[in-house]
Amino acid sequence: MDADYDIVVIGGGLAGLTAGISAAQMNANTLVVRKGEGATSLSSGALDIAGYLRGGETPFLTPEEGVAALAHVYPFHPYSVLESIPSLGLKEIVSWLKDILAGSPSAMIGSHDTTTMALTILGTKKPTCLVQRTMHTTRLDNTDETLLFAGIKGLADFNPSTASKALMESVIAGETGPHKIVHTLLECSPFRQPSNISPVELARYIETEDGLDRIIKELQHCTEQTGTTLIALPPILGLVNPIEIKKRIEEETGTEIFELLSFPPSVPGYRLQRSLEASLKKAGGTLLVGHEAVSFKKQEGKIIDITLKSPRRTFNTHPKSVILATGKFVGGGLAGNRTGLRETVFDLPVLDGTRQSVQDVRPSHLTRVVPLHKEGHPLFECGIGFDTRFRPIDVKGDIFASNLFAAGSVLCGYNYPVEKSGLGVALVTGRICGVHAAENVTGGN
Amino acid sequence: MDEEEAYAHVRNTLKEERMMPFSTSEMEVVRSVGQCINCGTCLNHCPVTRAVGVERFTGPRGIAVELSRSPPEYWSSTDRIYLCTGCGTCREVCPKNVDIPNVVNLMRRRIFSQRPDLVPQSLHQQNEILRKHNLAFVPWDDPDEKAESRNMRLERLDLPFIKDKIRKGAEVLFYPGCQAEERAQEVREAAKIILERFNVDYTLVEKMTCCSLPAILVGDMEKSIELSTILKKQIDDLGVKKIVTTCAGCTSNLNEIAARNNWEIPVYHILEFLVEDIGVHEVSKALSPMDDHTVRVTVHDPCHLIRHTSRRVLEYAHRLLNAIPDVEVVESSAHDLCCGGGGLVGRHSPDVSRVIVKENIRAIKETSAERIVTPCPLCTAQIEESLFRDGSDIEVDDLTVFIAQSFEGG
Amino acid sequence: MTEFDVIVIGGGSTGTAVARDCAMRGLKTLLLERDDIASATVGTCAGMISSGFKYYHEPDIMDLCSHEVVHLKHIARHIVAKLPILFPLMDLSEISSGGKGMEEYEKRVQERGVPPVLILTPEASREIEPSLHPELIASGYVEEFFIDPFRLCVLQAKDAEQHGATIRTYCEVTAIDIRNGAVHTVTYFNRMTGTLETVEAKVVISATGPWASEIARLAGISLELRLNKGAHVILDRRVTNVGISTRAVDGRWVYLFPHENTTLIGTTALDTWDNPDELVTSQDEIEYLLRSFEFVVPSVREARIIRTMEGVRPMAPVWKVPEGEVTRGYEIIDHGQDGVSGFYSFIGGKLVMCRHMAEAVTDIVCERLGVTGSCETHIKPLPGMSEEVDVLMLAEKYGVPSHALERLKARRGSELVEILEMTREHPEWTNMVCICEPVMDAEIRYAIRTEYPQTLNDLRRRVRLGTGPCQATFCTFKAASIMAEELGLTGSQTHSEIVDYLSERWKGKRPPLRGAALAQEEIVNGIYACVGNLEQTVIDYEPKPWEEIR
Ligand SMILES: Cc1cc2nc3c(=O)[nH]c(=O)nc-3n(C[C@H](O)[C@H](O)[C@H](O)COP(=O)(O)OP(=O)(O)OC[C@H]3O[C@@H](n4cnc5c(N)ncnc54)[C@H](O)[C@@H]3O)c2cc1C
Ligand SMILES: Cc1cc2nc3c(=O)[nH]c(=O)nc-3n(C[C@H](O)[C@H](O)[C@H](O)COP(=O)(O)OP(=O)(O)OC[C@H]3O[C@@H](n4cnc5c(N)ncnc54)[C@H](O)[C@@H]3O)c2cc1C
Ligand code: SF4
Ligand code: SF4
Repeated sequence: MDADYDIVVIGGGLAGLTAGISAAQMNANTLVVRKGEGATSLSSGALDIAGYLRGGETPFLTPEEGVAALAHVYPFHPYSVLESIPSLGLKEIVSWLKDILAGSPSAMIGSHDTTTMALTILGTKKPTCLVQRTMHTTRLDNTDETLLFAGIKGLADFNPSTASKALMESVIAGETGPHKIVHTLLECSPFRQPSNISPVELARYIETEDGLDRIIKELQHCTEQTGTTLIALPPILGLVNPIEIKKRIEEETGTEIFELLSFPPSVPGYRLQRSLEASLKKAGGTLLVGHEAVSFKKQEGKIIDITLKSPRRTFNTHPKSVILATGKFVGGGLAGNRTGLRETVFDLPVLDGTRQSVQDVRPSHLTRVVPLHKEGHPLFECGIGFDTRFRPIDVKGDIFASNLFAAGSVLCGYNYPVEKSGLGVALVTGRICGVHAAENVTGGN
Repeated sequence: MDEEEAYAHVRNTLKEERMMPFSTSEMEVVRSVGQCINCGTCLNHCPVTRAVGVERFTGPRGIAVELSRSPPEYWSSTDRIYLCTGCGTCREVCPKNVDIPNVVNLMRRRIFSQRPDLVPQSLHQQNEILRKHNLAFVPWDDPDEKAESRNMRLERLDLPFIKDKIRKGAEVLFYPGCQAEERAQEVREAAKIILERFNVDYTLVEKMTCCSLPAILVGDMEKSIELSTILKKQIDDLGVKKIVTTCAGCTSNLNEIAARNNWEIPVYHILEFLVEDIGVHEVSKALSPMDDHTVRVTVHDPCHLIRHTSRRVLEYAHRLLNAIPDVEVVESSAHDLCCGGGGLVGRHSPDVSRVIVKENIRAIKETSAERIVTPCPLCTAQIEESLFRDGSDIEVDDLTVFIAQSFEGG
Repeated sequence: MTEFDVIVIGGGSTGTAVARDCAMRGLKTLLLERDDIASATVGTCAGMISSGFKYYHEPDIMDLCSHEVVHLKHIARHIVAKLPILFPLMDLSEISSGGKGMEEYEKRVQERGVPPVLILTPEASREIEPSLHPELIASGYVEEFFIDPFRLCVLQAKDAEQHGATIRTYCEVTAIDIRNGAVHTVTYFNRMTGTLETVEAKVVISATGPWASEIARLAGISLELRLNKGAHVILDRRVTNVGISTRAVDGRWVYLFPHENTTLIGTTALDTWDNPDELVTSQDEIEYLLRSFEFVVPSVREARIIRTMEGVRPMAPVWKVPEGEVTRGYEIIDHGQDGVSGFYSFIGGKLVMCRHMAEAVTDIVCERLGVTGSCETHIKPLPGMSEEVDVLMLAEKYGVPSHALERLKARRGSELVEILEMTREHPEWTNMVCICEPVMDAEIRYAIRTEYPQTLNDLRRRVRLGTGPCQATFCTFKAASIMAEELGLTGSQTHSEIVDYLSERWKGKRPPLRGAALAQEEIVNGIYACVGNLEQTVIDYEPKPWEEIR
């Protein structure tokens, strides 16, 4: 049985949800549909906006400066569109997101005019913009703190000894940071089993009285012995109430604690995904999971029909506007075989960062010979081309459909792993698309 | 050696080396699992890892990247593989929609045929019942007793009894599934009431046989094929155009079998039938207030409907509930969490199943609903038992029964 | 200066076998390997210890191979596995060409306990392997054996060590000094300490595979080899139950073998004059293999490719014939003929013959040094091969998943008990560090403590770390920290180790990059670049040989 919505957003990562929330807030009847979770859930949960120029070595002083620089150096960068939309500036978008997430488990701290150097579980630092409240600390630059890296016995994802050595070495090399750094392994096993503890298990355990007591006792014991003032934990401070948990532990240990940036499976990624989904609901939008957009119909330059498929059912929608936010290779918006790359829903042409078609370029040719490179692999710059309203363009460079918009990592023109711009581009483009699509609907009425 | 002997020799070697070829449809599952990128998203959601931890279960990711990669070693996964409830949560959150539930079945199939000694005893027992009776439960010995039990249930629910209809050439086959046939008979009866109410041209099967899901879960491929063949024959004999069922497991399993074997007969859950064929408007005309006060209900979404069929089926459930006057629906934060009743986990590891359902119970209690409804008699049973053990007085109803109860004058 | 009876150069299958035999016969033995044990050719081979089916025109080689299979089964049963193999035939002409081979093959099946070549109907063939082309007309069937080449080499080295040999990895021989027409000293660069060291030797044996010419040159001798590159495509899992062998687009034989938890498709054959360290699999090689298999397994392209791997066959200098027709036998060159006595080089040979090659050269050495005593390498088992291990019982006892133990057993046989014992004191060492294979923390530590790995890549050869579908996406950073703990690495050394291993994996992931691997690479970049910021952090990265030339 068909269903009708003003706006159908294909993809439920940060880009799709931001678009959906924006549209729903403007009273458009909005459906966000997703076939799975994507890169958003895998992210560290810290929202990068702009860290480096490709190939650059000095982080931007502020995300705002970074956005301007990226837009300037790469005319095809999604950020370059911002200039033409004065009503939706970076500042407005960032504070909009902070409002949306305020009070949620992934409430964010930070601003468009400060670059935060966040500490990772490897003991490295990376430039980012917004961090979840539980990941926030201002005391990392104090030289007189005693910093404790506290891992959990049986949690293989984080080795506090490596992190503390690495940070200590950087301090010795002259970077500012605590002069006393210690590390420990806490005994805190959710199922009283010695090993193979997953971060999310710990996060759930800490939300029980038993678990919280346990970690507090362990930390108290350790801080007493070492005179710790600041504690770095892997991101495990709960899924639902992490902020309260952080406060509780701080009170009980008399220290400040913060979560490190970490790798998948990611608790902060989970929080972010869930918080955004809750915001969508609150804004009046509908989320439909477990459905994949499999085909579409186009008539007179407009998308008139999207077919959605679940394991055993298929149905059609007839939206007035469509937002494509299917992500990159992880999300599933792009796919590739030995001969080239393709976009998975509309078969839009896939372009590289300079807007050359890579439809027939072998994926390995879009990579560098070394695995990690400051310039990044061109592969991750590939995506679909867009106009200044984020409408995808076809092979001839014309708009594919007047009511189709695209947001997030399905877009071409930016290289998030090295620019440190992943969730930021998803946010900015998602927000703009949501507003445009909603305007398109009201305009079409 | 002639070709015959040669083949016999090879078969024997394969058996010794525990090799069993992948069929074409299994190959599809294998390819799906090959898409796993080890990201661990599934680990954050799997109800079993939530309940007992990765250490004890390994989780969907482990099944994809480790346990399922080398068929000759499937036997050594028996300490893990029977803990999967088949809920499909992993597949639904997975960026690549890796088909874990089906690869688990594929592995269980191989273990059953190569190392039956390692299949949990309780699963063998379940299968013995299936082999003997073609039903998931030991049927009633005495038809009179069965009728008596049914009548008692109907009486308690204040529902009328309608005689069974078996009619060739009917439009719709109502297939109750084993639970509603042998245990929760009220569900079967309620469905008949509903179908009668809307003058549906329906029939039951001559002799109820299982949809084959339990055999698939045990890994007894032969039995599962036999059961689906028996059922198909009955369907052909009756000449129906559509199948309607009240069980979530039957819905998804029959859909899967129908698709794989090109039955070309659609299989619907009764909720879908009501919304898509009868229409909410039409249904609502038949509904009346249930009680003298507003009833607060909360809904549990069966995995086999939301994750193996479509989330929209539960959207339909809400539309129908909203159409019942004086019913207020409150959402449980665990409405779509697996209740631990699937995959026969409850049979061989009831401890695990009980920990899983705890979260559902906690959330249900939190809603302050006085009643929980769910469109599946198996989920109903699992939740009812758990609430009872918990000492809760929240009432549990199969949604089909609930709807039948709210018919005007019903 | 220390003096040795024998210095063996090269820690591949040949070198480790030689060191083991020499040590077992009481010779004071030093093995020098410039990199890691099994880091070169042997680590890129399929591990097939074949009956020599393809070499029916060399009956004595077939005899040798067949005997060696029996010996290897006897000394290393725990790392040997049987594999049934189908030869699907698409037309009659293919049947007639196999006659002579079949005959020779059948003469030797009995000692290995396998059937003669069986012929199966198309129906039976497709029953056994449904993915075969529906139009095949019949298939041949044989049973062959496989050995884990990494484990074989490490076990040989360990066994040599237990018999008194000294094993030095990361020691590259840079000079061979000759005095009075005989070898006198060997100088090597110790890459771990950064120093040059010199030792005296009565005998030097070069078991350096493709590098034999270079080593000979160090002694002023010219030695010709025919180097031939072979590449494999590796799939993420066992996509078939049985092995399949067929004729490639050019008529050569190629195979698709389930191997451990993966599938190997191989191999190509290209004469090469490149530096073996710089070689990478080419697109043509990948296509050659896939296209060749499409004839018999039409769906082969739908499988997930996780990487390619390439090596160089050190063949005898026989020219003007195709690679397949070059003798598979080996030769021991006594460089006494070139004026350097006490110096021997191997050319040719195969993995399956390594023990035999060792026996032959050790006989010569013993005679030269006047040592009596006979070879026992075919009698005495390698470490880890004792009585059957009860996986299910041990899993229960140590609280480890039984599948993880089954995999551990496949690598280590009865040695696994020692590893499990380590977890008594440190129960958290049952953490699965590599989830794909799986590899637990304790095994990594055990390997670091007893099997001389210096890098994560070395660990891969010991424990299969990072060889599964995710190709080390998730185990690299975890294993690096364990290595740091065990070897006392600094934080930045740990970061470098991570990037180093990512590079090694990338070498094989990059050429066949497509499909699911694209998403996998996005995660790699998400983890190590986007979040880890390692491309900014690791500044002293030294490009690998294959990275410099492109
Ligand atoms: C490991 C990792 C760590 C990262 N860490 C960070 C970080 O710390 N900070 C940061 O800023 N960025 C980070 N990033 C980058 C960032 O996560 C992504 O760039 C961003 O999440 C992209 O968001 P998106 O909404 O465009 O795509 P996704 O989040 O990938 O969402 C795509 C959605 O589309 C759905 N979809 C796809 N096709 C269909 C279809 N046909 N029908 C229906 N639904 C469909 C998918 O199921 C998914 O829900 C990281 C990336 C990775 C891989
Ligand atoms: C693709 C391919 C597939 C194959 N498949 C099979 C098969 O299935 N079955 C089979 O039996 N055979 C197979 N072979 C052949 C077999 O792998 C080789 O013949 C055999 O493994 C060679 O072993 P090796 O020890 O002689 O050489 P290598 O493994 O190359 O060892 C030589 C060692 O010498 C070291 N070295 C070099 N220079 C120096 C120096 N200056 N100082 C110190 N050390 C040095 C190198 O680092 C290296 O470790 C295959 C070969 C290839 C290429
Ligand atoms: S099954 Fe899916 S969600 Fe789980 S690890 Fe694999 S790709 Fe990720
Ligand atoms: S089907 Fe359900 S129980 Fe089984 S692995 Fe997936 S999420 Fe876990």
